Amino acid sequence: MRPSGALTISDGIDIDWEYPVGGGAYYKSCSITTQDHKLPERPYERDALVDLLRHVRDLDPEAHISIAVPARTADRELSFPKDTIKKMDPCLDNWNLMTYDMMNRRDLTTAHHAGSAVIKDVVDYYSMDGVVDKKKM
Amino acid sequence: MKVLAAFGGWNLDPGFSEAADTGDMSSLAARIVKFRGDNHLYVDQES
Repeated sequence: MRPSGALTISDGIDIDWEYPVGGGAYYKSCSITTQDHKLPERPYERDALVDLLRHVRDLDPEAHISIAVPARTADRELSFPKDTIKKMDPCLDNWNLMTYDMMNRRDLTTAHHAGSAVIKDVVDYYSMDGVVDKKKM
Repeated sequence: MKVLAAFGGWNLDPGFSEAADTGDMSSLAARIVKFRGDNHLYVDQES
């Protein structure tokens, strides 16, 4: 990263790792996930993300800290399983749910890319039936 | 309304996976906090 020269004043930090465990550059290079072509999972990245959030919170305790998380079922379940969500939540002021990309190049059939019909399911997943406050979303 | 300094996105990865490979996320966290503290907009080298 390099400075653009523009000055800004921010209230905090938004972390947008797309996505721990099965994302990043490999996501772009591997268009289809099938039984014969599975992702090279990097499970330690879940704890790395939690570690990152804890460090950011410790270093910048006054900052508003948020995270962008995926809506697509396979992505959220791979990158953000429920035990990871529980560890992340104390570090966060809010969760930004990316309620789009609900289907993409890895799906074998078409579906809605976005839409209110499936947003409730996404909110319910990340709130874990009330464990995480929905007001933070 | 909150104004947040965003780190990441589909084409603006600041090195999450690379940091995870080292097993130490503290350096990346320090960079992120410093960038926010500098009150600058940062852009990816390729942008």
